[in-house]
Amino acid sequence: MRLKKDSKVIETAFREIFSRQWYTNQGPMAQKLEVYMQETHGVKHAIAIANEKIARLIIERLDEAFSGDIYSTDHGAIVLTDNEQIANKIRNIRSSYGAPVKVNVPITGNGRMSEAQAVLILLEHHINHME
Amino acid sequence: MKSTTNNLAVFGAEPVFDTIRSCSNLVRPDIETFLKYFVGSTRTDWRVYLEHKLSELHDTKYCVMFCNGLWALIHSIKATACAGKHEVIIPAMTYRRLDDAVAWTGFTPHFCDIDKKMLGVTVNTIAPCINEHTALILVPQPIVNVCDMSYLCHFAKHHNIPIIFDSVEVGFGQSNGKMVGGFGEAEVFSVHASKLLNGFEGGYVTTNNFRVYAALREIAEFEMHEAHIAMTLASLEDLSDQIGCNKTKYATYVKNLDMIPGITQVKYSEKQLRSFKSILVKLNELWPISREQTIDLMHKENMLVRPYYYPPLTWKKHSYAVVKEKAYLVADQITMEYLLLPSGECVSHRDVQDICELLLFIQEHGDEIKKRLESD
Repeated sequence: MRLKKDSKVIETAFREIFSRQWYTNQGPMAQKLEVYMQETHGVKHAIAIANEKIARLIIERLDEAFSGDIYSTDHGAIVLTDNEQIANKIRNIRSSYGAPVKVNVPITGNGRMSEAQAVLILLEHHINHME
Repeated sequence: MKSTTNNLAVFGAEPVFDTIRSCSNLVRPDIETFLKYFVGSTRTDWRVYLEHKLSELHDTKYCVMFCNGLWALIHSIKATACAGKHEVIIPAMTYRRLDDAVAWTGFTPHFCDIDKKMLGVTVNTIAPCINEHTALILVPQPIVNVCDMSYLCHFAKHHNIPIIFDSVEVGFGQSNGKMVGGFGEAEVFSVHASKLLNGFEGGYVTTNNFRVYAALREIAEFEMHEAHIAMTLASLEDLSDQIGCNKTKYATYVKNLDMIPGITQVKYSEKQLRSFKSILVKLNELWPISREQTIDLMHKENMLVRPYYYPPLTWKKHSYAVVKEKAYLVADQITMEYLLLPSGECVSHRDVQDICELLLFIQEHGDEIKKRLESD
């Protein structure tokens, strides 16, 4: 469900992002979103990606078969999988910078989700981004 | 400040800074301006407006926004490379994903060497790599310096090979008196938070070529997010203030670093417009410790210095086909010499002075520092 653009909630969230200078990617909001998606969908790994198209392109570049799903919204996509190896590869193809576990991948790219995107998805799911 | 080597954080003392000073720009636009664009208006065509503003900034006819700079670059390669040929010439020493960007398109990266003074490609470094398979010349700008873009375009035209520029590291500037953005078939820019304009994430292509513009315009599914559009617009409003601030910090670095033996700062042109965003230095033969030791020591002081485009792309193991020349004399020689110093919104004038003081301390106590580092 798309949050109304004139929502006070959105304004408050972005004032918080600016005050904390959460401009870079895969920050606290993206991490919170990934945890929320793991719990909601009952999977071991959720990887936030800039959009569905890039998520699909990354999956095509895996050097093994993909098992999982893609949750897509207006603000970005989340790849859902129980396979740890695949999850680590997707994170490294998405952007090796900041990937918690470095693994060899055939190619790297930019599929990063911004904090702005992540907080909007959280707000659409009525998640208090600051809790 | 530091009075003995015991005061260095690498030997257990407190760091100079409580929080990290990085090389990422992380400029903070005005929140009210951002909100004005994002939630304060019913206007739905901010993307069109932003593309118009960026076309004006770069003095080009067209601009197309993308979800990020890498995908802007990938689609620019696809839109401009010659059909029926498969090699794209790129430098050996550049942005770490440039070869992967080429590989995403299905073309083959062909690495050329770089020029020792320019720290990027020149006609002389590209020429040996031209062959019947060359589909495109992709020129990423070095940091601080700007390539001789007119001459490169003339060279490309002579060989009937299209040329595009990755001008992310220029952001805003001139080459031979003309605004960067309108050279070649297309130029690519990024508005990631670490770059000159902070859009959270995003990228754009500028071009004067209608065919290229039409091809890029048709691409769906890689559009820039509306929050990123709003952020970029807000950042654009502050650009001249930001450049003024950058220039003052740059001048402070120049004044202080010129007095330190062993460090040569790469200086911005005084005749062409520049953003003054990045601070690049060379550690020459008078510098007492290695670059890697310098990096480690400064990181411990919460100064997040970075090596300049290290390692060369030709040192990587590739899972896809690449073409390499027999040797990369310049790239291999200078790859251990250059360093990016902290700059950007989070680095104050006082911070610049503290960073320079530390560098002077390292120079003056170099022998002792080296001995202690190597015995630990």
